[in-house]
Amino acid sequence: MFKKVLIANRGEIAVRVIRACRDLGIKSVAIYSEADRNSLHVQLADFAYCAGPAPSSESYLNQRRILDLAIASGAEAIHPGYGFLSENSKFAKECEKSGIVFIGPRSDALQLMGDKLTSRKTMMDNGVPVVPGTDKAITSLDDAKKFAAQYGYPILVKASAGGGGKGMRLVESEKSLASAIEGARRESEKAFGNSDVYLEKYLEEPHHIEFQIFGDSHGNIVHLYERECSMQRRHQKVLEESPSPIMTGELRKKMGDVAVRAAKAVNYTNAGTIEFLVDKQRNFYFLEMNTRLQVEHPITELVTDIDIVKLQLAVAHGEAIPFSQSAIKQLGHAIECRIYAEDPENDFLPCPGLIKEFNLPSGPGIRNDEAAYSGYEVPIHYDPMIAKLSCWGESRMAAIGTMQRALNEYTILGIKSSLPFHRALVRHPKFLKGDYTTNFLNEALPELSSEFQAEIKDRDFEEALLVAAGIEAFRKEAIGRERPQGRVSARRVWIQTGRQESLRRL
Amino acid sequence: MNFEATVAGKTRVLHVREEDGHYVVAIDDGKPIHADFVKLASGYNLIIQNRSYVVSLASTNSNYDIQLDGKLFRVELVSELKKAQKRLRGGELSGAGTVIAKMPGKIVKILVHVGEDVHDGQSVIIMEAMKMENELRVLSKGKIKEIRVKEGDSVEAGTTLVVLE
Repeated sequence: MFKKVLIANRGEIAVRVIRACRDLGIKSVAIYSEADRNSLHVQLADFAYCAGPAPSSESYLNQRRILDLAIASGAEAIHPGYGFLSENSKFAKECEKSGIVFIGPRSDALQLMGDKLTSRKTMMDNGVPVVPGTDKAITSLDDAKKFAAQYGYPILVKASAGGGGKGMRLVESEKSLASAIEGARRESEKAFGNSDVYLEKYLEEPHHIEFQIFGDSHGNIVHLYERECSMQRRHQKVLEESPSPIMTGELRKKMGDVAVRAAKAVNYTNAGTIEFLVDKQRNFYFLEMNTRLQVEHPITELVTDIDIVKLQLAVAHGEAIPFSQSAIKQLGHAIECRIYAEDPENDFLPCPGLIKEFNLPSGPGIRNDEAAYSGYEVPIHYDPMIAKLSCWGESRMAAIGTMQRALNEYTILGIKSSLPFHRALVRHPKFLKGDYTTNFLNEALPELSSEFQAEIKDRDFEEALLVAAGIEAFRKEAIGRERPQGRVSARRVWIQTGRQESLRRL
Repeated sequence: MNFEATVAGKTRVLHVREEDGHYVVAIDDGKPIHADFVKLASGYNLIIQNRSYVVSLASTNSNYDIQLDGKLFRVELVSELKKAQKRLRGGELSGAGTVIAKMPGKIVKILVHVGEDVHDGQSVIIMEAMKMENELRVLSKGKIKEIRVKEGDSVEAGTTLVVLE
């Protein structure tokens, strides 16, 4: 096994990988930007190197600097996490050239699957069904209009280099086509340094279901079953579960086989995800492949009892996957909530700032992946996801019960967080029934948002709230009054005098 | 000591005092409630008549975020003393008719011009923060009086971006 690994990432995923390294006795090397000196991953790693200033382009995306740090620190391998350089084929190639192992697929597979247009073509050539779309990047508005006329609105504008909902726009009618293409291009250029966008037919009310796959350098490829990822807001996943509530044994077998076939088409190695859209008639289409560790990998780990990150490290080191497809079982049910530093009452605006209080839930069936702590300041420069909460239960309802309990125990104060949103979401009747598609949140948000401000349901509860508030205010006042006894500053005397004066006039 | 507490638009007067190591609170001159309130390393534990509550709270000035048994509330607490002083100083400036940056970020695009009529909820500025583009909207209809930023500007939280007439 490796002796030292550099983690080219930040946030909860850097923490996740560092913890796996520690479990395996591998020394971990963290990198951090100047804005991340106080971040948790820096504290937990064995070694920490500053990679540069706050902007990602000068730190977490600074390929040369990161490679130099890997060499200088004596790391044998780089784990890229997700986002940043994780799907960058040029970086993987540079690692290969420098004799540093890139923990992920080979650079040629990254390049092929990283370009959405090329990957779609490869899938079609291998008999994998894909969503209808343009086979080239859009170069003129007329071409775009022609495609739209052929397939009808709504259509999706997607960044060829895209992922994570960035550089993606839904277009309902021709009126907003031009501005959507412009916006997607701008966002894609900024996020990926590539402004190519293409069009795809937008499937109505689809499910977004993905399969975790895993390949090794000995030619083995297995899948670790599916994840239901239809709970999305603006194409950003907010909750995932495994298994999917709509999955049948037959469909699972079919999709699993196609997922493995898709991965085999590119001789895929290490962890990857095949994303599918599933329509009302349960037809499924290849959407894209994510050539990295996925944010929502914990739920797969919970239901399969396989540690994907440890497996990534072993397979990158050259070992074979130590089990066969038939030995992989899907046991019980797991749900993950992505906790964001966003204000659900204010159109989910990002809310960076100081976390005054951060308390994680615990107990049976609960897993935390977090990047925050009490006193942590969420920087403005990066993604607002600060933690993930995953729950396991022997059935779907058991997992939901644990999730409801865990979200109530969870405390984030000082900044706004998505917790009130998640608390309402896991109590929504449609979620409880498992009856939701990617359209669900668009429609249910107004109804859900009326629940964000918790209602006061009984008198005892209201009393308790007011009592707690009153005592806290009382304590604060009392402390304020005690302070001057020791040393009375001239300023305080002046303030007190002013206070008395103003009251006298009442 | 007396405080005014406002939750969900409803204001109550709380009378709080300390007695033999616990607190006694009366709500709107109701019967006194005896409360055992313990500060822990993080958060508090509150027991009222053997019913136990987990309490977390954080405050900015007189605004308190209070989480009670997994439910989050915003409570405004003003001591009667402070309220009297505030009344003497005069009211606060109103923030209506403006678009304010609620977080630090960068102005990507300005969608309106000075003198333009806008409707309630119309997007006026695209701002980028934490790598996502966000559309900022006006909350009432009116005419654009002033645009205080230009495209490419970086702004701090609380900056007034657009003013309506």
